[in-house]
Amino acid sequence: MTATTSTPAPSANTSGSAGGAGPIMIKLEGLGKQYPKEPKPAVDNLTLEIPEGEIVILVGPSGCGKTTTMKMINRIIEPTSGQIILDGEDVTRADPDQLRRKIGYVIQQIGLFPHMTIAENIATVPKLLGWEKKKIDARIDELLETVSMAPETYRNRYPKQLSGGQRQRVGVARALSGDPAVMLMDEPFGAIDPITRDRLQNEFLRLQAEVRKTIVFVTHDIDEAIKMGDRIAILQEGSRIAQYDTPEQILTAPANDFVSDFIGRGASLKRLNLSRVRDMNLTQWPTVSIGDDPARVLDALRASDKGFALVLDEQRRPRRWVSAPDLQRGDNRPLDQIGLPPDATVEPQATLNDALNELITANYSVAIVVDASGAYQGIVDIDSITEAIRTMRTDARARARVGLEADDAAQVG
Amino acid sequence: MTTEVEKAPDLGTAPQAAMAPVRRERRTLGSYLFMPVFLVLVCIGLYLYVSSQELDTIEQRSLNADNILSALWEHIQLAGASTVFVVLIAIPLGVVMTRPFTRSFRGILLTLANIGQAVPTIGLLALLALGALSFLNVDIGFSAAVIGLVAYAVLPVLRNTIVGLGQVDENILEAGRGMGISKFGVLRRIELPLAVPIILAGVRTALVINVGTATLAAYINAGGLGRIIIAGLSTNRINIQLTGAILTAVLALLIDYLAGIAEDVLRPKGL
Repeated sequence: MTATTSTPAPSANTSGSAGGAGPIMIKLEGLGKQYPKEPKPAVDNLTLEIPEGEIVILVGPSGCGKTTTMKMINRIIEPTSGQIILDGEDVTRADPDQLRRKIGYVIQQIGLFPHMTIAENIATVPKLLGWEKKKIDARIDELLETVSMAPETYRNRYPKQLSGGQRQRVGVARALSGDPAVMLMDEPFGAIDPITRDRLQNEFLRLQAEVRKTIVFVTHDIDEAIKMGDRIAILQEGSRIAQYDTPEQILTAPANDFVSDFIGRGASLKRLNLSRVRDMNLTQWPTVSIGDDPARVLDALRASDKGFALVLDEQRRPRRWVSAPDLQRGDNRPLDQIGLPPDATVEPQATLNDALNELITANYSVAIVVDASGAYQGIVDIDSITEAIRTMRTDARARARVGLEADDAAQVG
Repeated sequence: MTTEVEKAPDLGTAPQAAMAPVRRERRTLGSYLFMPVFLVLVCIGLYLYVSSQELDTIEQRSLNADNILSALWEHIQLAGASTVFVVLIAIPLGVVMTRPFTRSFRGILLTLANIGQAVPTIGLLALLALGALSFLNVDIGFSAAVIGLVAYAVLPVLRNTIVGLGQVDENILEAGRGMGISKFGVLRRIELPLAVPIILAGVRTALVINVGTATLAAYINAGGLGRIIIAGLSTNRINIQLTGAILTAVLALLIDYLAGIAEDVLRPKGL
C-alpha cells in the first residue's frame, strides 16, 4: 500500500465520537458482549455515537463483532456490559419487545413470513402498536408505493410469488411500517444479484433522502460501505474501532495499516463511489422531439459537434439515438423507428461508478441522466468522469500535503 | 421509464404474467372422487356376497345391521377419542420440547414416547385392563383401551410436532422477534402455522394407527369392529371374520381420505 503509516493520519478519527455531527440518536457506551466459555469478548468496550438521520455503516472482516454489535442495539443479543442510549433514553434494560417495535429491522435473508400476504407482513408492527385498521391499510399502500410496487397488484400476494429483489423491497417496507426513527440493516443487499443490488441500493438512497431515518447498516463489503454510508465505522476484532469517519476521510486519510489494508487496492477507483452524478456538470447534448421533422434533426446535429442526437418524447423521456446516416437510411420514417434505443440511463443519485459501468457498455459510450420520472437531464461521458477523477485527485493530494506539513511541524516542535 | 422495464423485469414494473403460481397441491376432482367411490363399491360387494350366502344362526347373530352399526360406532368412538387425547397431549408436549429451557430433559421424554410405541399394544391393553379390574375393581374396558391407544399413537404426532417446529426457518423467527413480536406471539402466529402441514401429517398417521389398533380393544371388552372379527375367529365362521376385517379396512381408508382433505384445507396459504 502507498504511504501508510502506523501513526494515525492527523485528521483521522479513531474514537467513536461523531465529532461535529448533528444531534446523536444512538449512543453506545462501553458496550460489551462476553459469551460464556469464550476467552475473548465478542464486543469489547465499544463506544460509538450515531447521529440522527445518518446512515452509519459497521464494516469489518468476518468475526469482528459487527453483527453482534448491531443486534445488541435492539437486544436480539443482550449486552453483558455497557449502555445503549436511544434518543436520550437508556434502553439497556427496557422491555425488549416494546423497544423493537420502535426499531426497524432488516436482515439479509429478509425473513418475510411465508404464510402471510405482503399486506399482512407489512401490517405486523402497526398491529402490535395497536393502530386502527383504516390507518394500517393506508400505511400498507403508502409503503408499497414508496418501494415502487403497485399496491393493488402486490397487496394480496404471498412472498413466494415475488422475486428476490421484490422480497427485499417488501422487507424494507415492513421495517418502515411502524415509522421507526431507527433502522437496523444486516447485510440487507447481501443475497441479491449484483445488478439488482446496485439498483436497490440507489433506490434505497433515494428513499432515505425522503425519510431521513437513523440507520445502522452492517456489511463486510467496503464498496457498499463507501457507497451507502454517511459515516463508516471500520471495526477490528472485538468490535474495536479502527476508524470512524466519513467515506471521503477514510479513503483519503486511512487511520492505520488495518484500515488501508481493509480498503484494499484501488482507493481512487473506489472514490468514484463517493461522487454522485447529481454533483457533476452534465454535458448537454443535441435533443429533438419525437414528432420533429428529420431536417430539424440534421440542423441540430450541424449546430453541435456531436455525431448523433437524442430523441425525446412528450414527457422528455429519452426514446432513441439517431445519427445523420440513420436519417438518410430512414427514408422519412418517424424518429422512433430509426437509430438505436437509449440503453444506458442513470438517475442523479447514482454514483460515478454506476455511470461509468453503464457508459462502458453503451452503444454511444455515454450515459443518459434522467430524473425520477424518467425525464432527460443531461449526459455523462467519459470526459466528464475523467475530469471528476482529476479534481478528486487534486483535492486528495492537497489534503495529503496538509498531513505532511502537520507531521513536519510536529517533528520540528 | 421504458428502459427500466427492459432492464429489470423482476422489479415490479414488469408485466404480471411473469409471476410464478403458488404451488397448491390441489388434487383434481377425479382423484377426489376415486376413493369414496371405491369404498362404496367394496361395501356393496361385501353386502351382495353376504346376502347371497346361507347364514346359520351364529352368523345371523353377528351379521345384522344393528350389531354391525353398533360395533362400527364403538370403533369410531375408540379411534376418535384416543386421537383427540393424542393431539391434546402430543402437540403441547412437542411445543414444550422445542423450547430452549427443556433441552436438558428432551431425551428422556422422547424415550418415554418411544417405549409407548415399542411395547406390544395387546400386552399393554391386557395390563391396563388387569390393572383396572384388580386395583380399581371396575370394568373400564373403554377407558383402558383409550389409554393403550394413546400410548401407542403419541409418538408420530409428537415427533412430527418437533420436526415441524424445528424446520421453521431461523431467520423468519429472528425477523419476528426483531420486530417486537413476543415469544408467545412468534409461536402462535409464525411457528405453529408454518408447522401445520407436518403436524397434520402426524395426526393423520395417528388416526390410521388408532383405527387399526382399536380392533384389539375387543379383547378387553371395549367393543369395536374387533368384536366381530373375534366372534368370527372363536366360532370359526369365515363370513363373520371377513366382514369385520373388510369393514375395518374400509373405515381406515375412509378416515385417511378425510384426513387428507383436512390437510389440504388447513394448510396455510402461501406455503
